Amino acid sequence: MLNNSFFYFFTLSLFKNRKRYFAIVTISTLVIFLLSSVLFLSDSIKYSINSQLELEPDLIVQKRLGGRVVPLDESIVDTIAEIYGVSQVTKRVYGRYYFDKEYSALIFGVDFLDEQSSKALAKLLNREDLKRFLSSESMLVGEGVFNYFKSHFYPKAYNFLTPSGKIKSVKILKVLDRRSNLFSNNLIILPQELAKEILGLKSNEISDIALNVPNPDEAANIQRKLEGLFLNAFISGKREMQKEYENLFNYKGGLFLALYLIVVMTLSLILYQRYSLANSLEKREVAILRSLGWSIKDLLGLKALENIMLVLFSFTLGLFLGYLYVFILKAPLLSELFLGKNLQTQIEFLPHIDYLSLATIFILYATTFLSAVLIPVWRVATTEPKEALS
Amino acid sequence: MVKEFIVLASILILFILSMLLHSLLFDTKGSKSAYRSIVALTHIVEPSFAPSSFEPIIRKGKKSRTNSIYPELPQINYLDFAYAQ
Amino acid sequence: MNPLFLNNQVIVYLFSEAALLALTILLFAKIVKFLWFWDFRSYSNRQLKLEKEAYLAMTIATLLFTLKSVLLIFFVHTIDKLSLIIPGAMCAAGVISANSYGMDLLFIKLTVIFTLLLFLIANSYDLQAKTYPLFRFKSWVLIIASGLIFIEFFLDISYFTHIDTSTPVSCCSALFGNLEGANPLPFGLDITKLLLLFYMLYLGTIIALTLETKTITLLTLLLFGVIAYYGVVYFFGTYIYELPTHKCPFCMLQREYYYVGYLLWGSLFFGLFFGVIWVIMSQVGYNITKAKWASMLLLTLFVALCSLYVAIYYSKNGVLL
Repeated sequence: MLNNSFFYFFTLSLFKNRKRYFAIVTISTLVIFLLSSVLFLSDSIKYSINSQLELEPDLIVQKRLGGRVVPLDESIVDTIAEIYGVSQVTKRVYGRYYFDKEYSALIFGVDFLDEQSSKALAKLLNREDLKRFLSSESMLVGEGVFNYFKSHFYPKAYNFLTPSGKIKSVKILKVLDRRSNLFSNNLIILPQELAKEILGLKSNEISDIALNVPNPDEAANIQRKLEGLFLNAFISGKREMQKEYENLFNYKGGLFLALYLIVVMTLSLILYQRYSLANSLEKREVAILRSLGWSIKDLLGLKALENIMLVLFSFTLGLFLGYLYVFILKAPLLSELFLGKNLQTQIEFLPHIDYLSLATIFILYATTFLSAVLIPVWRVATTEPKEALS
Repeated sequence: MVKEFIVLASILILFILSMLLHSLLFDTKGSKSAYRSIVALTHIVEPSFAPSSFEPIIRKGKKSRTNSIYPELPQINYLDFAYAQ
Repeated sequence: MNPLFLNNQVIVYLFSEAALLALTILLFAKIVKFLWFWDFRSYSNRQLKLEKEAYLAMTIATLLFTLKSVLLIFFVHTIDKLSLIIPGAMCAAGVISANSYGMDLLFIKLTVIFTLLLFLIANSYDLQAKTYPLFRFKSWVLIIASGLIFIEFFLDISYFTHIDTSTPVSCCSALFGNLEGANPLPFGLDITKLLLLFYMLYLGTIIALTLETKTITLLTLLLFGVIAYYGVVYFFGTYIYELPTHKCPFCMLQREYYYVGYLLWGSLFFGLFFGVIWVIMSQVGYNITKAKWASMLLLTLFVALCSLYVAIYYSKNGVLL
C-alpha cells in the first residue's frame, strides 16, 4: 500500500498544502483540548470518588431546623444502636473552621472509643505517633492546611479561636499523605473532645450519626424507624448521595458541554466557510487530476482521506495536550471550577481514561467536522476541468 | 513525502502510547489506599475543599480578609525585604 | 427538565443525530429530484448537474453509514452507562425497556444500517457499469433509508424524553428470566427443539446460499435471525455468563464478558444483512458472490462462537448448565 501512487499523491498533497490546513488544525486542536481537559478532569474526580463509595455509611442521621443542620444530642446513639439490623453506629463530629472569610478547613473529630475509628487511625499513624496523638492536644493536618499554617508562621502549632473566645493551641503532629489530597487537603483531624471545643459543640452534642445496614432489604424499614425517633430527623441514604454526586458532575460537565456545542457549531460554520472558499489553485489541481483520468469517485476518496487525516491529527494532538494539562500539569484554574477555590495545593488526579468519554469527544468532533466539510468538498471535487483551467 | 507522513503518524502513535503508558504506570493503587485510609476514618466521601451541600455556608467576602479582633499574621513576601532595603 | 439531558453522552448523541438528520434532509431532497428528473439519455444541463449531485448523495450515504454504525455502538454503550442513574436497571436491558420506544428504536437503527449497506453495495456496482442501470433501484433504497432515519430521530427524541428517572425499571433477569413457568419461547418450543431448529436452520441457510435459491434463502435467513436471537438469549447466553438464570441480550456487551456481545451480535446481524443483500441484488440481476460468501462466513463465525462457549464450559466443568 505504501508504494501505491494514490497514497503517494495523498501524502504529497497533504504536505504541500500544509499552510492551507494550518489554521483549521490549530482551531480544531484547541477546541478538542478544551473539551478533553474538562472531561478528563470530571471523569477522574468521579472515578476517585466512586472508588471510595463503598466506605460511605449506608444511612446518615441528622437534625435539621429550618433547613440548617444543627447538633444532635449524644444520647440518641444508644437508642439507634438497639435497633435490629443496624451496625457500626458512629458518632461524627465535624464542621468548618474559617481562618478568615475566604479560607476554611474541615475539622473532623475522632472518637477514640469507637472501634472502627481507632483501627483506621492505627493505619494512618505509627505507634509512637498514636501515643502522642492520644496523650497530647495535637492534630493531623492535610497538606493545604499545613501550607497555610506555615505561611502564617505556625509551623509547629496553631492557635484556634473557639466560639467561646478562648484560644486553644494545638500541636501539628503529622501532615497527611499528599497522595490523598483530594480528600485530605483541607482536613484537620483532632480528638473528638478537642474538635467539639473548637467547633463550639457542647460535650454531649455531636454533628451527626453514621450507620450501616448490612441487609439492604431492611434499609427502608430502618429508615422509617429512624425518622420516628425524634422530630426534625433528617435521614439521607447512600443511594441518594450517590445520585447527588452523579448529577453534580453531570451538571458541571453537561452544562459545559451545552455551551461547548455552540463553540462546535461555530467551528463547523468556520470550516464550511473555509472550505467553500476553495481557491483557484485547488480547483486547478482537481481539474488537472481529472483530465489525467481520475474519476470523481477517486477525487472524493482523496479528499475524504485528507479530511479524515486532519480529524485524526487534530484529535490526537488535542487529546494529548488535554492529558498533559490535567494529569501532568494538574489542571491549574480548571480544578478550581470543579473543587472550589480554597487552600489550593497540587492535587494528583488519578489518570483514569474513560473510553466512553473519548468516544464522546471523537463522535461529536468527527460528526460536525465531516458534516460541515462534506458539501464544499464535493463541490470542489466535481469541478469541471474546462471551467477551472480556462 | 511518504516518509514525512510516516514520521508524523508515528509521532501521533507515540503520543497515544505515552498517554497509555503514563496512565498504566501511575500508582493508582497507592493513591486509592491513601484515599481509603482517610475516608475509612472520616466516612466523608467528598472532596475536602469547598463547603458542600450538607454544611451551612458562610458567604465569601473579599474585602475584610481577617477577623479584626483576632487577626491573622500577615503572609511573608520576600520582595518586601528587598523593597525595605 | 429531565436530568438525562445533562448527561454528556446523551447530549452528544442527540446532537450528532441532529447533525446527521440535517444531512439526511438534504439527501432526501436530492433523491426526490433525481427520481423526478433523471434521464440518462438526455444531454441537458440539468441532467449533467444531476449526475454531479448523484456523487453528493453517494458521499452523504457513505458518511451516514459510517457514522450511524459508530453511533449504534455508542448508543448501546450510553444506555449501558445510564443504568447507573436509572433506579432498578442493572444493564442496558432495563434502560432500553424503560419505555415502549426503546426496542423499536434499536430495531429501526439496525434497519437503517441495513438499507445504507444495501445502497453502498448497489452503488458500487452501479458506478462500475457506467450507464447507471441500478439508478432507480438505489434511489428508492435511499428514499426508504432516509424515511427510516426520520422515524429514528423521532424515536430518539421520544425515547429520551420519556425515560423517567424516578420510577424504577426492571432488570434483565426480570425481563427475560423465568416468567413463573410461562414459556417465553415462540411457537411453543422448548430448549431442545430450539437448539435443533437453530442448527437445522443454520445448515439450511448455508445450503440454500450454496444452491442459490432466492426464496428459500430469504425465508431461512429470516427464521434463523429470530431463532438465533432466542437461542442466544435463552441458551447460549447462559454459557457466556456461566450462570443458568442469567438471560440477557445486553450484559454480554459489557467489559466483564470481554465485550464478546459486539462480536456475537455483529457477526449475526452482518451475516443476515449480507445474505438478504445477496437475495435482493440477485433479484435485480446481480449475483454478488462476495456478499454470499461474507454471509456464510459471518453466520458460521456466529454459530461457531456460540457453540464454542458451550464446548468450553463443558470441557471445564464436565456438565451442562
